[in-house]
Amino acid sequence: MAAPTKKRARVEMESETKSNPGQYISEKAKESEKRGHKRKRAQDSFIKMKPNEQEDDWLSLAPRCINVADFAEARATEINTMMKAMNNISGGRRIFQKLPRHMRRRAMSHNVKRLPRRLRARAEAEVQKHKRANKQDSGAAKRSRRHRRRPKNLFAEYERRKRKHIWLETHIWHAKRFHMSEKWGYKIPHHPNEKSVRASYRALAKHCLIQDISYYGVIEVTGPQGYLLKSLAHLTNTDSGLTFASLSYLGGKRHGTTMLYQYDKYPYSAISVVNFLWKCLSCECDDRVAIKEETNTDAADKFSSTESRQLWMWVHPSSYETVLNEIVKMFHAKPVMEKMKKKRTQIDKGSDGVEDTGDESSLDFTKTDRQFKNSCVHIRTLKFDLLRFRLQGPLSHSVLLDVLQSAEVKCSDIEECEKMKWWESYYEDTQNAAVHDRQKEVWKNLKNIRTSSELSPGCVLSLTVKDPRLLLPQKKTKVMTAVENTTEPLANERIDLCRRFPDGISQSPIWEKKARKKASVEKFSIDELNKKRAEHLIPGTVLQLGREESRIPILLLHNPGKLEDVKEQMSCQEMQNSLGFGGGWDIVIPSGWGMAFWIALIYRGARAGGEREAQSASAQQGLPYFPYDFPDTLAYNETSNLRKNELESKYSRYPPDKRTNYAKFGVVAPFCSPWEQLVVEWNDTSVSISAKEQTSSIDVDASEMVLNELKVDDMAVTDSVPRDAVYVLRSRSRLRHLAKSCHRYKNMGKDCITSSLSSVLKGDSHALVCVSLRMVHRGVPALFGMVCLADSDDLQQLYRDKNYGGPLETLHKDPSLILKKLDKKCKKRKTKLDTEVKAALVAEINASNSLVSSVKNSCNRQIIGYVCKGSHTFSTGTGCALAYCTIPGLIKMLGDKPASCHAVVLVRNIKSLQYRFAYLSVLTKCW
Amino acid sequence: MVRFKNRYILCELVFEDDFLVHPTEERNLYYKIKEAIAKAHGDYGVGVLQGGLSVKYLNVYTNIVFIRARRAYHKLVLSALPFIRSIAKYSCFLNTLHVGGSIRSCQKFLQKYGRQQLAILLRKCKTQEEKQEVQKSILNCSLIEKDQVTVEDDIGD
Repeated sequence: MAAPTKKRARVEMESETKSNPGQYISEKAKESEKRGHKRKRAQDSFIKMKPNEQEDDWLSLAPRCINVADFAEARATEINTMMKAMNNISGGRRIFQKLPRHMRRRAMSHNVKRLPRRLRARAEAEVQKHKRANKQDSGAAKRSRRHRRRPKNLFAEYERRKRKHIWLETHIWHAKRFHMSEKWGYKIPHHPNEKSVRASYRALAKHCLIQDISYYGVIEVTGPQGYLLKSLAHLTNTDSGLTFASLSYLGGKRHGTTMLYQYDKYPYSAISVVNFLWKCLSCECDDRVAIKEETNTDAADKFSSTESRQLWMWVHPSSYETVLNEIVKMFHAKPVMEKMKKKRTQIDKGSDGVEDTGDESSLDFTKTDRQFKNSCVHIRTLKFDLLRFRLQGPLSHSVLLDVLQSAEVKCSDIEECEKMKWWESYYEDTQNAAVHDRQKEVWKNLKNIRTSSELSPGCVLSLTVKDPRLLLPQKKTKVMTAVENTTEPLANERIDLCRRFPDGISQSPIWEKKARKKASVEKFSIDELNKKRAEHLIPGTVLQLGREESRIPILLLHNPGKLEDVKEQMSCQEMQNSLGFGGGWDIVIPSGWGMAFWIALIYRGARAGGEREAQSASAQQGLPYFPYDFPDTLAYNETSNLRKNELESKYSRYPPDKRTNYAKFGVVAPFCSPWEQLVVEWNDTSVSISAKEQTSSIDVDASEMVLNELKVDDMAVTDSVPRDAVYVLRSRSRLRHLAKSCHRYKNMGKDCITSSLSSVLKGDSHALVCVSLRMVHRGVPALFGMVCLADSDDLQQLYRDKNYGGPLETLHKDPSLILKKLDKKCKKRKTKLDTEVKAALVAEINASNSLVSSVKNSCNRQIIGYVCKGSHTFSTGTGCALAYCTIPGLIKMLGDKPASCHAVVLVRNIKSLQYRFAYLSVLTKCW
Repeated sequence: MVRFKNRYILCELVFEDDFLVHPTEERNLYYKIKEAIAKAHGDYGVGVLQGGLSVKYLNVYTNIVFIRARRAYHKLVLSALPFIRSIAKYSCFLNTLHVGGSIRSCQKFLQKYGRQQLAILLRKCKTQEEKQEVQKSILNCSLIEKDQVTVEDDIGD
């Protein structure tokens, strides 16, 4: 009741004094607010507030009473806001949820009619809106499961899903058993779902590990040999190993691996590692080449030859486009627009069951291969024509022997009316048939060999084999080698065979597009096979299809695994154990046959692995794996950027107390390795030292002298290339020299070593060197781990105490944490933080964030490199790693190293303060 | 499910002086209420009420406030409110209009109350101008009402 009377008073007063409606009296009011916290003081100020008093004349501006209109309006707006607030249904609730409880009914959201009539219209509108939103999300309503699972619809769905990422032919088999990852435009099996790290290693070491690496695309280059070799020489360099032009590869009897660089940019701008194979010359020509090989005719001859040759290059998908572009650019080739042929009639109409769906992809002509042409060179991409499986391990040979059986290709009774099969038309040529006989003979002889490591490294064998589905064992079995073979001494001829295959053995119809396509088209579907099998009276008898049976042309590429070259450094025993470790066969088959061969191989006990297994296999062998371990390539940059983003986002997802504070651990780059900066810093120091030397002639250590020399040379030699471009040293001779100086050596002075190194490594101060690390005692190096120089104290302690684990990094201070703490303290005490201190701290934080601070001296020991790949290796039983180091750093390390010891460095992981000792050896063979 | 039950107290701030707008803030009032509770009910009162006590709404133009308190002890707040004599140096007292179980019910009450006030104001008007202005604002707040389908009537609780 008080309020209305009050209002009356106000209204009465209004007529006397008229003034503007006041706003907030902001500043002064607040000031006085501060003053008048206590009640008494408030009262005082209230007294003062009388308008006639001088001090608070600001109050005179405010009205002594209120305007009726404003008063009414304020009420009106409040009523409106109240009404709006009540009408607004917040929190995404539906209209019926606003009903009082006693009016609620079951299934109101489903049936509008359960609502009171006056609300129905609005509820209906809500339902419609919901429906519309749903439709935009997921398209048409879901069909029933039965409809979706019909083979036709299922395949349509697969085709749709394949569009985004290319599927391997074995995709569905893998998708059921593996974690799949989307990489480089493919769906690639990453690792099996079962626990399998050790099992995979066992398979690699004792049995057979198999991977589908069909994602390696093929680039085919056809043209006159001399021209091809001359052009390709611009992309490669003989310094870094054998190239395309090497005579041992040119005959087509061996496949090789080489590093591609951008046109004439060696050693900068590496692109990719490629595996290549020349098409074998037809028999007579081959003889000629063989003779050449023996007589060692001059190299000029091979460059002048105008014979048309065919070259296949298997390229990793991460760099496929770059390689293709580079080659096309080099030959000035123009793209050939070929009109897409009509979709081939699919011979196998019946569904082969879910697991066989990979076959369809090969027949899908939407994925056509591109072609490029210039006057004499023809470049073609064969991304979808060829599959490649990698079998590693000692028993891969026996597994293959069991799976592959040479087919009969004699075409005895061809009825004229019938269409010729591909093999009939190919093997009509007696020469081809003769080659086939020879291949058959060789394959038979190879049964006497226990493992593939006894063969000459990198040899190629081609076969035309029977349909592997007909030879499937009843149950999954594990093929083991026949024991009697091992006891039998090898006959001389067999040893010869191992050493050198007869000529023309790698000649194969798989090189011809027509034969390849026909081979995949003329395939029986499993359905048809099963129907034929059902006709047998006795179940389980082997199908004899005769002429109807498919023949498949395949290539077998031998992988030597670990060679002596890699492990010069290791002790003899280790070498014996690991000789040929990880070797085996690669099998290349025409597309469409993937699942047939895959199942056949799996049924022989081969263990399937994914990309993780491939990586760990390369780690066990101590070899780099493309593209993760090639820091100077574009593909590495891309993948490492992706990895960096992934790691960073994962890191930022964790609360600060549940994640490593890298600032405290003194880790500058926890998510990527800053190669460029490291190299630049190592080169800068050498300059600064030289300056110091000039001013105050302090006696400089020999190794530092070397650095200066390097620097000077560098300036003189490399003018045209960007000076701080980072590249990886791949020159064999220099690497060998470096590798030698890592060993213990006698009767050579320190100066001698360093000076000779400096002369050899002229102008390579900006290079990185691939090194392998083996831990001295404990510890497993991990990705991004830091390779540091050991102090002389550390080394002495190590020599004195054989069990000395290694020094500890002192815990760093995190400036951002300190700032936080100070802020908190100040808040508590209600004082302000000293601006100078704060500015210093902020500057420090910024510096650490932007990587401006030194990388090299970011922790107690100087960093010379970073670990690319590190793990526990089962083969040695220690932690091993592959790392890249800067050359100035390496030389400094080698200069300080006592002559009687193997080179030792310190390795520290990003999540630990503990440095560990590791033996360092330089890898001379980088792929 | 189990929930905290609250009471919402709808009060009017009645200032001694007649300024149009008093620059008060929600936290000023909050501290004042706490002070008053401490004075009237001691530490016990503060301890028991501190949990849910808050000022949910304050309109400086109409001097309306919503105060929330835990239901079990809201009477302590009610009994402490008369001891507030000033807010942010302006002397005033709190006039409790309504105690409701939800903000919604307070809003409803406020709406009704506002209309009543406007009607009274209209009756008290002396000049024709004033009358027109008040009528206009009454029309203002009821026109919107017509536009919208009045939910609170529709839903009818």
